[in-house]
Amino acid sequence: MKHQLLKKRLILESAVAAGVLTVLGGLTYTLQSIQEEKSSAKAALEGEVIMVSNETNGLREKYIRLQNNQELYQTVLNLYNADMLSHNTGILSVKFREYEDRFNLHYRAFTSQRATETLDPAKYQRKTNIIALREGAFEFKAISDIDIVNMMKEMKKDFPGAISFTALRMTRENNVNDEILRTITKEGSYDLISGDIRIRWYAIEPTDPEELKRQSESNKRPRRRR
Amino acid sequence: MVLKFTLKKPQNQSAQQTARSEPSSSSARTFQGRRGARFVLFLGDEGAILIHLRGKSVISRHFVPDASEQNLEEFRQAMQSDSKAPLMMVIDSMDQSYVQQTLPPVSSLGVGKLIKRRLDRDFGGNDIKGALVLGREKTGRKDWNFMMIAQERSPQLNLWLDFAESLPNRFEGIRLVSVEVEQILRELDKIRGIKKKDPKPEWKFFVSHNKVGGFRQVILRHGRMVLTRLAQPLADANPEVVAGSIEQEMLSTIEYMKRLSFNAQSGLEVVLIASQAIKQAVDCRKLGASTVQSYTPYELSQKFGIEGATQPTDQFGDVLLAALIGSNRKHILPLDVPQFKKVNQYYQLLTIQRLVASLMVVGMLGLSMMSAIDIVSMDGDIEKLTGDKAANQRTLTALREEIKRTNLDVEKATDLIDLYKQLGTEAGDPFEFIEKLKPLITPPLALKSIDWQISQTRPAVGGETSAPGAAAVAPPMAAPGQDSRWILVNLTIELPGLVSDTQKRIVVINKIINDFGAQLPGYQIIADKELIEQAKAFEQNRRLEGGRASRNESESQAPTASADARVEERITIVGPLVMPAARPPATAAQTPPGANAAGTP
Repeated sequence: MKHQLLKKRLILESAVAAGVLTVLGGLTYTLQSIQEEKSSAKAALEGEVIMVSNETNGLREKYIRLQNNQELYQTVLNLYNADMLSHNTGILSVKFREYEDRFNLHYRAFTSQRATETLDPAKYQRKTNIIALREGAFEFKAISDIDIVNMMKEMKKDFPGAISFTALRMTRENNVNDEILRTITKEGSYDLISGDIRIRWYAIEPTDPEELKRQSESNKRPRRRR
Repeated sequence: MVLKFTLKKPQNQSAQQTARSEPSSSSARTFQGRRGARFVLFLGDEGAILIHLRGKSVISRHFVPDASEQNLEEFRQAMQSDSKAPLMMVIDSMDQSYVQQTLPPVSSLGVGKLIKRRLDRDFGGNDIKGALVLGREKTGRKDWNFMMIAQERSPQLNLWLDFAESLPNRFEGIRLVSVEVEQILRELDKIRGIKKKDPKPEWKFFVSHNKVGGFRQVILRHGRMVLTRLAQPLADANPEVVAGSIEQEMLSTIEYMKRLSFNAQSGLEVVLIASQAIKQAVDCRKLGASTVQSYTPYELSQKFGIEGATQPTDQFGDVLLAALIGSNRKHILPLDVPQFKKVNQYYQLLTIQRLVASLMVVGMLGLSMMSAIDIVSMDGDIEKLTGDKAANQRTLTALREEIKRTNLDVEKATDLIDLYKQLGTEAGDPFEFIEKLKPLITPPLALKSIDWQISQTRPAVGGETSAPGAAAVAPPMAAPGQDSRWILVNLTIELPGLVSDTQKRIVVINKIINDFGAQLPGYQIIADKELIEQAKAFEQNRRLEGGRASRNESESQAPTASADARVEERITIVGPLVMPAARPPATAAQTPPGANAAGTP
């Protein structure tokens, strides 16, 4: 008899315990959920505070840097506005025509292709502008190798943006003799040296598509092919 | 017949009424009893006493001479006051069996099974039985010594057990006075300030004059019970007669003890619980005891701090023993009764369930509390962060407005400056190399072609072999931050008038390489592989044929060179794009064979 009573008590107490534990579990779960929500909200807010703080500090730092480099900024801005930092192929046509006359050479079409994606974004990309790269090459024939070297020096100065020569090949096709000298005197040119040049052409390009379009349109000039 | 005792406030007693021999110690401590309420049913051959304990206080005590229905009803009513208090049965009756046995030296884990088997074999299945492990022999086979104890289930005991079963109170099992005396004496030693390591008499003789049991004598050797006797109480109430009877019984027990190799020289301590009159009349000197502690029940209850168990005039130790055993935290031998097994299992389940539930409740409450504290704390943090964010936002807005007033696009301007500076680092041209090359290619040498290339990694050139005898110069590693690109230059140089004179060609090429090396320090100058093979063959031939004769022969074999004939030689140059600083002129160690100190052929 006694064990029956105890069994009932055990069951009753189990039920009570289960009930109490359920209620407490619910309470604990609810509190945990609230705690997690608050924790997430706090983390998000911390992130926002840090972001705003970083933005403020970054902007302030840039502003101070800009104030300290006003002269440089003016130079860069002038070059930028004059399209002297972009891949301005229009200028190139004019320049190559000039080189032909000045350095007594013939060149075959300058070809280039975009290779910006090969550049390290951390080093070559910013929020408003990036450095764009074109890899170009052209073949030439000239009287003298000295002319070629001088032309290359001019290219460094004249090309918008910056260029780096990656290859130069020059071969003397013939030995200079009286006949060649006579031809040069008569015609003003002779293809004594032949070769080719490869370059990497760097320029600054806006990230804003609208601005990029405007820049491209302003660079469009009639090209002279030979 | 039911006798109900009423509790009176105890009167002050002098310290002289306590033990005759009492060690004084500062390390004496009080008896720590169990908490909570419980009933103790003290059963003897002459009746039963029920006491209601709460902690170390006896709330009520009842005596009945037998388990008649009327008496049981009286106890039942007494116990109705606290149906949650467990009931413990303490037995001090004649129908107990004590058998000391030895067991072979099995492991301590296996001895329990052996004892159980021996108990089942030696006692009846209906008996309530248990065993005390007294320890192992220190010599010989190291056998196990244990004492088997059995309580016969007499009809009277069955009535009491049925009574216990009928109660709503939990039954906590049976304890035997003779066995539990061990623990009482240990506690008494602690109260007296005697530590475990202190020297103690080997033998202890405990005598208690009880109402329901009689004279209970328990003999302990080295603190363990080895012998117990119970003598019937005398009808004569004359203390002198009772004391004489006690002395006589004790002397008889001493005779039994001698069979257990008792020797008075090894020390005998007597603990006597009897009325004041009997205590004074008993002469323990006859026993040869080294220490005698005589207490009245009241004195001992005072020593243990048991309240309400006795009155100063009480003569019997039953109530006190019941209270001491009931309030003791440890028991020597709890005996279970099979009919209570299932009930006890339910009680254990209830206890476990309550414990688990309590732990879970505490855990959940703790977790909830921590969460609540965290929530409150985070609320404060969020409030502070919101304030910080607003302040930072205001600062940013103010800065933007300030910049806006200057008509500057800071972002764009900074980016342009950064990128413009980066453009300035994108160098790479052959001008410096060509300048260095110019003084090296002078008549009669002429440059036929040049193939200059920039490479991101060190170019692999065929064979990596320098000209015969020429020192191979490894280009230096670029310093951190320096342009680490390489150049690979292939030159075709025309040499006049040396069409097939291998030796002279080698000498001339060596000269060129030396000159190049001096002009282009840190660069590797490599001659044409074919020429190197020819040079090796020539050297080998010269060694084989030896000396001047061979040289003359080779000179005579060399065809005469035409003045206009020109031969082309390829030179490969590998080195860093950024030219290192000029080195001092080549030392003698770097001068190749076939060239003089000045490096000329």
